[in-house]
Parts: sequence; C-alpha cells; structure tokens
Amino acid sequence: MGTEATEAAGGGPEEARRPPAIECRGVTRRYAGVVANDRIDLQVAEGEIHALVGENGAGKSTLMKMLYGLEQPDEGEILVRGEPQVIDSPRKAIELRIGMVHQHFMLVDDFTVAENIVLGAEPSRGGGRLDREQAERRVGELARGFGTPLDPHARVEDIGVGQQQRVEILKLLYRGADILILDEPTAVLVPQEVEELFAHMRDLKADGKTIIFIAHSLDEVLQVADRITVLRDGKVIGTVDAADTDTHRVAEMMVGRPVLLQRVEGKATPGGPMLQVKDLRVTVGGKEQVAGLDLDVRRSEIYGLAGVEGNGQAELVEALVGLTTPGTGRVYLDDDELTRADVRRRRQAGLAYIPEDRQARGMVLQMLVSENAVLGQQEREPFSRRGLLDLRAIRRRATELIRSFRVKAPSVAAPAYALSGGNQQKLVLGREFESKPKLLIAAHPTRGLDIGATQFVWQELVEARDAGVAVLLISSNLEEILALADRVGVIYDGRIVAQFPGAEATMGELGLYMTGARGAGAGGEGPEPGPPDSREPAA
Amino acid sequence: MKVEERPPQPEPEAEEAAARLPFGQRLRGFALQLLAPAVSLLIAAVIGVLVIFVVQQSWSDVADVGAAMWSYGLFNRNSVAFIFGRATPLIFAGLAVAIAFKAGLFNIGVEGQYAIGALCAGYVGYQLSAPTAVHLPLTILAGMAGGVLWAAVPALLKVYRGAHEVISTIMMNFVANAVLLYLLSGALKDPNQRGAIAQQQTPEIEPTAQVGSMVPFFNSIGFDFRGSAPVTWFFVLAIVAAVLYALTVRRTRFGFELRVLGTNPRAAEPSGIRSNAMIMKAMLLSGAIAGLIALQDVLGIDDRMKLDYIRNYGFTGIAIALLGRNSGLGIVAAALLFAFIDRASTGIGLNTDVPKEVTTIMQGVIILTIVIAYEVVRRMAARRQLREQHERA
Repeated sequence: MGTEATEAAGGGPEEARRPPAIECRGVTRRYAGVVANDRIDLQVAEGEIHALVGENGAGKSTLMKMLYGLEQPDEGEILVRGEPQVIDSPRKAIELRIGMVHQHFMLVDDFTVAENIVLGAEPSRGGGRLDREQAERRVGELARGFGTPLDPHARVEDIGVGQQQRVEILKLLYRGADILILDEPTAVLVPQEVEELFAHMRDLKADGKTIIFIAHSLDEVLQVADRITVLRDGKVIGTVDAADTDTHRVAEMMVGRPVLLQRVEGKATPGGPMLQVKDLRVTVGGKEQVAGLDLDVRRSEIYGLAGVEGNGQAELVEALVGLTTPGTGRVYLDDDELTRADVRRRRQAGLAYIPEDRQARGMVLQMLVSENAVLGQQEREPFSRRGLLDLRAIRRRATELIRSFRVKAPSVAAPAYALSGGNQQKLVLGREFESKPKLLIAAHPTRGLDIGATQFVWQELVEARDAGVAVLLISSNLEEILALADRVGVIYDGRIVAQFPGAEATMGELGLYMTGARGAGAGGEGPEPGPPDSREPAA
Repeated sequence: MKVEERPPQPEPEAEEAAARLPFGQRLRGFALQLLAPAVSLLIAAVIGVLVIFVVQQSWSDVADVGAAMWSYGLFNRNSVAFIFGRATPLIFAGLAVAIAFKAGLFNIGVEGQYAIGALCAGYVGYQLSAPTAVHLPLTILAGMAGGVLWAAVPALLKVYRGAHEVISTIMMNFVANAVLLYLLSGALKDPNQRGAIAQQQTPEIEPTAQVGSMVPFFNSIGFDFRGSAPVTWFFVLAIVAAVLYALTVRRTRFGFELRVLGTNPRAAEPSGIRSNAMIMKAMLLSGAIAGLIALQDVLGIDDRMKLDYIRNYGFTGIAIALLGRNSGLGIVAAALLFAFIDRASTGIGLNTDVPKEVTTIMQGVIILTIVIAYEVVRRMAARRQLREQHERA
C-alpha cells in the first residue's frame, strides 16, 4: 500500500519557502465514539489544486467541515497561512478568506445571479436599500475577470447546474476568498461541464487561488490536481504528486486495507437463478441512473455488488424493492414477474430488504420495539389474522429477535428510540433475516457497526445463503464484498461493467473498474479476466 | 396515550424477560402523560383568574366565578345531561380529526364534512318514509355518506395530484357553506312555514328517523333531569365510536399501518404499506365520522336541518384531538371537559356579574398551553430516556 506516499514535506511544487495555505496537525474529530478523523496531518500549499479522495466514511467531509468552521476538532490544530487559527464558524472561515462550495448548492432560486452573489454583503444605497446597479456591475466585472460568461440578471432557477456552480464559486470570490473548498463539485455535472469546471479551476489557480476539492473519480482527480491526499478510515494514508502516480496506485491506497476479517466460506453451492434483472433502466431527476443493467442472483449465492457510491446502486435497489418504477426492463423473482409490483407484493413473493438508512426507512422510532420487530411482516400470520393484530405473537417474535440477535433493549414494550443506534440496526437486520426470504437485498448492512457486530452480520448473511437464500449484497466496502461474495459485480455509471467469481476478485482490480479506470465505455460486460461467470455454469 | 394492554393470563415463559416495563416505570410514564394536561389546565385557570381580576378589579368576583362554575357547571339539575349532550358532537369531531391525524393528515375540513353530512341526513330524514328500523339507520348512513363525499375530494386531490389536504379541506369548507345556503334557502327549504320570517331550514324530520332522548333512561337510574334536557342516544354511539377507534388504532393491522404512515412516512412504503391507499382510507373514515357530528342536533334535538349548522364543531374537534392526544379515552375526556366549561359559562352568565366569555378565554388558553406542555413533557421523557440509556451503557 502507498509506497510512494511522501510525508508531504512543507510547501508545494513551487515556493517552498512560503507557509502552506492550510496545515492540519494531528486533527482528530470523534462522533459519539466513532473516530471520523484520526490525527490528520495535511498540508495544502498556496496556489495548488489539492484533491482529497477516499471511500465514503473515510472522513473527507468531516475534515472539510472543520476547515470551514462547521465542526471543531477535538484535538490538534489548524494553521492558516502559517498562523494557528480556531475556525469556530463559517463567518470566521470567510474572515480567513476560506470559502466552501457545498455539494448541494446554497442558492436562492428566484433571485438573480447578481443578487445571489452579493447576498450577505450587499452594496447599499443607504437606508437598507440594495444598490442593484452597483451589484450587477460588480458581479459582471468579477465574472469577466475570471473568464466566466455569466448573465448577472438571469434568475438562478433559469440557468444550468454548471452555471449555478459558477455562481457559488463567484460568491466566494466576491467575498475575497482565496482558499476554495469544493465538495464533490463534479458529482452534479455532465462530462462536458466537468471539462469546463476543470478549465475554470486551472484559471483560478493561475490567479493564485488555492483549491481543495473532494472527488470520487480518480480519472478526474489526476486530470486536474497537483497533489492528492488519500484518506481511509479517518486516517491520512498518504499524499502523492499527481504527476508521479496513476489511478491504479491511488485506487490501491484508497481501498487496499489489510483484510482484518477472514473470508467466510460456506458449504452451499449456488442453484438456479432466483432474481433476474434484464435491461433495467431507471431515470431519476432527468438522469438515467440505471442504464440497461442485467443481473442475476442465484439461490444459495451471495452476489456482491461493488461500486463507488452514486453509480446507480441506490436507484437499482429502489427499483428491485418496488420503491421506484423502472423505465424499461424486467425483474423476476423466482419466475414471478415483479417489474411493476409494489413492495407489498414483492414482500409476499419472498423479498426481504435491509435498507441503507435503517433508522429512517426501516423502522419507526416512536413505535415500540415489538412493533418494529414485525414491521413489513405485519400482515403475516401469526402477527395478524383477519386484520387483527396478535399482540402476544408480536411480542414473542420481538423477544426471540432480541435474544438471537443480541439486541440490547430495556423491554420490547419500550419505544424503539430507547435503543442505541447499533441495537436499532441489529433489530432491523434480525427482522429481515428471520422473515424467511427467498431473496435478501442488503444495502450496506454493516455500515455503522463495529467489528464484532460486523462479523456477526457476515455470519448471518452466510447462514442465510447456506439455507438457500439468494443474497444481493450492496456495499462500498470492498473488504466486505471480497469476504462474502460468491460472485462480484462492479457497477459503474448505472451498468455492471465487470463480473468475477468471488475467489478470484482482487481489491486492485475491483478498484480499477469502480473508479472507471478500466471497463468504462467498453460497453457492457467483458472484463479481462475471462467472461462473466467463468467459474461455475448455471445449475 | 399509549395504554399497554394487560392480558389476564400469565405470560408464557418466552415473554417474561422483556415483555413489559417494570410496574414503577409504567406508572411513572402514565403520570407523565397526565402531567401535561394537568399543567395546562392549571395555567388556564390562573390566567382565567387574572383576566377576571383585571376586568372586574375585585377578588370576590373571582370567587363568584369559581363558585358558579363548580355549583352550576356540575351540580345544577340538568348539568350532567347537558355535559353529556354537548360532549357528543365534540367526541365525534375529535375522533374525526384524530383518525386522519394518525395517518399524518390534517383534516381541517371536518367543519364542512359534518355540514354536508347533516344536510344529507336531514334530507333523507324528511323525504323518506319507512319503518324506524330502516329509516333511522339509512338516515345515519346518509349523514356519514355526506361526510365521506366531502372528504373524498381532498383525498383524491392529494393522492392523484399532490394537493395539500390542509388547503383543499379548508376550501371545501367554503364550498360546503355555499351549498348549504343555496339548498336551504331554495330546493330543500320547508315550504309550510307560518309567520312573517321564513326560516332557512328543511321540513321536520319524520318521527321514524328521530333519535330518542336519553333522559328517561337516566331518570330511571336515579337522575332527575328535565324532559327537555339535550342528551340523546347518540351519546352512547359516540362512546362506542371512541372505543372502536381505540381498538382500531391499537389492535388492528389497519391501525398499525396507519401509525407507521403517520409517524414515519418514509418507512411506510419499504414496509409494504400502500401509502396512497392508506391516505384514502384514513381520509374517508375521517369524513364518515365527521358525518355523525351534527346528527344529534338534526335527528334528536332540532328535528330538522337548519342553516345555523355551522357550529364550529370541526374546529373545536381539532382542539379536542390535540388535548386528548388522539387517544380514544383522551378525546372523550377532553370533550367532557369542554362541555363542562360550556355549561359553567351559562352558570357564570346567570349567577355573577362577570362576562361569561371568560370561559372562552380559558378554552383558548388551554389549547395554547397544551401544545407547549406536551412538548415540555416530551422533552423531559426524552431526556430521561437518554439518561437511562447512558446508565445502561
């Protein structure tokens, strides 16, 4: 891992004498016992484009929030231009000429471009009246100065996403920021807009601005960044010069953790197909998130779907569960066509679903532990008969679940919010495991769980598989995929771009497909290590 | 509100461990739930006292009001009958609001729904002639159907067009008013009225559709009400409705799904709950109950549908549901309380020099303080919960 990681000696490529624009020394941030940032050392030289990469939950956002004053470090210090600073609010950050563009824009849709840019620091004609003319003139000058063609009179709701992003950046420049933090700026853009953004970023750099940006796509990072810092599990893995590295090596740094947990081998061999997905397309918000995806999961098989978040896995899961209707395509569960069936029908047909956001979508915190223990199965016997609930059967099930899944609960008659987060998770997981499903869709089932609980959930997934259940495991944690999956598919840009037998997949290779370094644009499946499903023929 | 059911037989072994909270904790929880209404009543009383003192500048008037509320409100010959009778429409109104609220819907249109319901019942009541066993149930069903009809429009608009039910139900109230005025002064107006000023009202309802007074029953068990005391068998129907409501919410799958939808709509669909179907059902059920609100007045007291049926029952129902925390028992209690305050206000008017509107102020203050008091208690409970969690960990 990361052999080329230089310990980021002070200063950038040029001007090694000047103090770094931003320096973090041993910055640590904990949330309720979870260490989000663990003794982060980071130096961002003045006038460079510095990329932060890492998996979800690696701690990138937390770090950026601390630089912008939205969070405070528990330990360590942050130096701005060589001076130790306590950035306790965005206001302070702005005073220090640090600005941030959030992933979700903070614009007022029915204000004009100029109004949005001057908002909070408006030129005044006295008496609290806005000097509109001056505002528009200054915004126009600013935009021209940075080579950005923007109409100051246009309403923000009428301009494109790329332009809105420009407005956000100009807003920072208007306030005099020269350290710009961009949180996943490319996530909302189409490829052409990405090119424009990068050109703009280079212009800003030429103008002496410092840019820190978070990105997922390594190709993009290598195109525009001078240096790259890789975060993993809240720690800095290393900082490398973009010129000296390639996507392969960065991917390895990103995901290549030593495997702590052993691959869990099961006894069962996969049977016939249980879930079949053919040419599925799902369009959300005008973007085709799932773009002609084919997939099948067999009985007694764990199919691990790997991918960087935002490549269509969430939309795929919603379509498979019945929460969104696909545009085209077919979904079969054990020969039942369920393409347009609602969730209730799918659950009746044998679907169990562990949602990614278990607190929000998998339970009702204000309702009782016992009620939550049968949520989704409320119409099954013995929990209800002829429309009447059997409260004793429900309590009995809850008591069983609490016991077999080691949920710490004061009582099944307590509200679910009385449980800690981890125990709430276990309740949902246990409920779905125990629903005797044919197909179990598990979205990031161990996210937020500690090592012990993770191992337990892994064991349960394997046991379900051995009992004949088809398991579709969606996870951005490659370690988990490699430990469990009988087959691994990589989803990129709404398609499965590669498929491997579980035993043959490697982190490095998966990482390449996940980040689009390989396989993207190659069209459908056709990875280099042999045709899909090279290991076992369908039974 | 969350009253745990207690099966009479001993729990099977598997349930013993964690099936119930310890008795002490349950008792504390129950006390905590009574705390909020108690506090808000107290605050309302204090503010009532202050208002009287400020207006009248005399402590003796305060004492007079207290005495009048107590002696007239509770112990006047007809007070109990009046309270039961007055509580009847308020119970229905509270239930109508509450069932919609359980699904997360604000049915502000109960007002219009009961007006149309009453109109339908009034029409069937005088138009049809049939034996009581047929006529009365049909008349009541007509009332419910009217409420359902008026609730269906906002429900459909919400499900198919995403129109917010608060807006559409309020609008439907205005439409209901206009429909009432139009029909009662036109097509449905009683043609056989004597006197100079013809009332805008329907002809009298057939005796076969009238609902009997409960006074003979009460007097047979030892009360001594005047024959004219306004309490009918609808009071019993209201209590039955409250019991059915409580059972539906707690013990049926429908109630379970309603609560899931109402407390965490994002968890409803993944749990196989058809949100739109539930929204329809909840709204229509709310309208059906709303249709019953004014039937005591139409079928049991006035014996005809009149224009002045805009009696604010629907809006009072919101307060009742709020005060009763959407529980069957709570709604009955809140309705009885409001009915008592109404009765007491008559006593204040008769026996003191204080304007009886002081009771309206008290009702208003109760509604305002109850919201705050519940929130305070909720936070207290949450803090305690957190502390206990901490101690366990």
